[in-house]
Amino acid sequence: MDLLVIEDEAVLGKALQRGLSDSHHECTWVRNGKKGLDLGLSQRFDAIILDLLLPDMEGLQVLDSLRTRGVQTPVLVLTALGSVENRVRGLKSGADDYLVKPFAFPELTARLEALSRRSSFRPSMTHTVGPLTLDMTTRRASRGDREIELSPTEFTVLEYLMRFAGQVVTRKMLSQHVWDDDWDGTTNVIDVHINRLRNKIDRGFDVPLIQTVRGHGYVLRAAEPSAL
Amino acid sequence: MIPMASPSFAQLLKLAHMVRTGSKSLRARLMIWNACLVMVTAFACFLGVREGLRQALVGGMDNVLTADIREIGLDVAELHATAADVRSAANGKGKATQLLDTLNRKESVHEHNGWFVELLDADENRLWKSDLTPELPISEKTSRDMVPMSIKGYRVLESRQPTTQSRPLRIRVGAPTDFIERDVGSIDRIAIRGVVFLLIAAPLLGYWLARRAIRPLSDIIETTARLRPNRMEERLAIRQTDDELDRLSATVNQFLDRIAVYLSQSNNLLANSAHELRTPLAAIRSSIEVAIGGKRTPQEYQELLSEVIGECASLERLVNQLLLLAETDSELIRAHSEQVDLSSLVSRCAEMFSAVAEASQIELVNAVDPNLAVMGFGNHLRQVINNLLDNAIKFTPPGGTVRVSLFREGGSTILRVADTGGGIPAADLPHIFERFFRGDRSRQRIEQTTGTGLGLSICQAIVAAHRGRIFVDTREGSGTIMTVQLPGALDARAPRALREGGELADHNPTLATARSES
Repeated sequence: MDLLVIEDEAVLGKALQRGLSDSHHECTWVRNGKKGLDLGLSQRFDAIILDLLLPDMEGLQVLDSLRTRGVQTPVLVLTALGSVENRVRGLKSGADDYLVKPFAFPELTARLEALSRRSSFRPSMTHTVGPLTLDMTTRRASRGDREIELSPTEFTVLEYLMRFAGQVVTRKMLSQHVWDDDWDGTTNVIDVHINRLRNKIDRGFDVPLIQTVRGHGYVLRAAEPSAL
Repeated sequence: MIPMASPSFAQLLKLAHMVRTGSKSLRARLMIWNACLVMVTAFACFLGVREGLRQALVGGMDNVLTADIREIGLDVAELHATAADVRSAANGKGKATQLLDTLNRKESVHEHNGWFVELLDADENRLWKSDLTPELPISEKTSRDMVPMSIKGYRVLESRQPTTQSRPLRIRVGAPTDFIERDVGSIDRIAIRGVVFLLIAAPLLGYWLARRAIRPLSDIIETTARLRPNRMEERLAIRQTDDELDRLSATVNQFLDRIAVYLSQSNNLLANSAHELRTPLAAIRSSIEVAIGGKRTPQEYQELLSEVIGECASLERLVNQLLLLAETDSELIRAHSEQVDLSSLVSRCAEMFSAVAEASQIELVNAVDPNLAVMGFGNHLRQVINNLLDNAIKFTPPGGTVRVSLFREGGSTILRVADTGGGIPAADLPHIFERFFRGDRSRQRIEQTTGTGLGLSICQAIVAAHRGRIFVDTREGSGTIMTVQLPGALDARAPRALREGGELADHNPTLATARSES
């Protein structure tokens, strides 16, 4: 993906550029709104990551100018504001998605992929990851030749993990997707639900499909981890 | 003269301008009003006294004249004197000469105050007059029988005396009124001195009175001007008069008390927050210093950095909760308030925690009445539900029950979370809503729990911002019941302008597929 990052904070900007390049994205990083707007208007990007608090102009102004000049590139807004302001300002202003600082890096990449897929996304009838198949119509899973019954919640969790197969999915992403909730209390509600799911799809098999990534979340993958 | 006069004229202009425009200073206005009122009252009093005196003097004179004319009338009647008798008596003949002598004597007694008497016939022809009688323009038309008149500085009384002839004899008695004018004039002179005195005294008195009345206000202004956020101990003096100014002072004092409490709470929160932030920061710093301090295997690097992410998560949690506390400004919530389907919200939260309850062998009973909604901010209300459920499950031993219920009671919606845990110790009970309060760790079933200690205070702040109340009913050893009472009880099926989370779904495909099971 060809990405434009408009972020004035040096450490975060550098980390974003490095991290996104590692995930095989082309990344252009600018540190103020004016340069960002010029680039956004003159070049084609697959998505723009836009910080709301910029030194020279408001992030929302950049977004406004882009939209009024007909640039329809998906924009993901980064914000450090409180949740009420986020809802009121961020989403009503024409941003396609927003992330509250601080955020987990896997969440950023997942959101970006969701944004770029938006136009071409065609829901398929089945998801398949290695030996695991999920039937979207019957809402049943099978691993190898074993049929697996799923509760509605387990189905939603598994569908989400399979959608991002091979990528880290954080607890926060799961809680937002499954319950529309950003509970970050001390009780690891998500872990318990994942354990339930593990009991169904990994118990009795040598190779676990759902793996815990320490400090991050979970990843569902078919082969042995090679890089991580 | 002009240089002398001009400053006072300028002062007068200034005063007039002050009165006309209504001076800004309350003291000046009070002073002017007071002075005007005193002058007007004094002037009215003076006029009243002056007129009263005149009336009294004239009345006394009338009485004297009436008595005189009756006496003369009796003498005339006794003689049966006619006009002709009087005319001849004036020439020293006839029976009426004695009467005229009496009248002359009478006049000489009253000479010093100008008393006079005259006798006339029915046609206004003078028959006889005493020496001091003035020429007065009195005619048949202007005079009345026994009615005193004031003419050209004289008071005159006329009596029509019946005679043996058909035509009456007229007796006219009078005296000058100049002494009355003299007396009234002396009152006037006294009054002018009084006016001059008042012109000076009234504004001074007004100024003094105004200053006396304003002094408590000036005190209030001075004291409040001295107040600073870091020096809030000073209070306004209460003078124990129980008047409006005392009530104002008392109200301001109460307001200051509330601000002082609020400020100290804010300061405590700030200090406590800084302390709480130090712990994860210290861990992060140590882990990173260890990581870059020597040669490590990739495995070790990964472990250390994972720990850093874990600590970042607890930093993030603390910051989020502090932000949430700051956001529970009721104005903010009221401004963005929308209808929240509380029934499905509570059910979703209960579903989310059901797995945790099951893993801890706790029965989570869902007794949520359907279709209950309130006005509020869904994200924040969810924090309340999650916090209460989390606490209940955390403090309930295996085999216990957590029951979450939602129902309508009067005009309110009640959320209740009851557990069969150990209850809250009496010593902790007064503090559970305090920020950063953590109960005795040994009671907690989950040993590794690292709560921020903000959960319940956030719940309370959110509920208060929704104009609701939160109650705790606990019995040591048998369990705790947390009750949240929210005002209003709406029907979630009623049409609403803005679906809760509706705009999220519009913009965000990753969230749009959520809640497929609900």
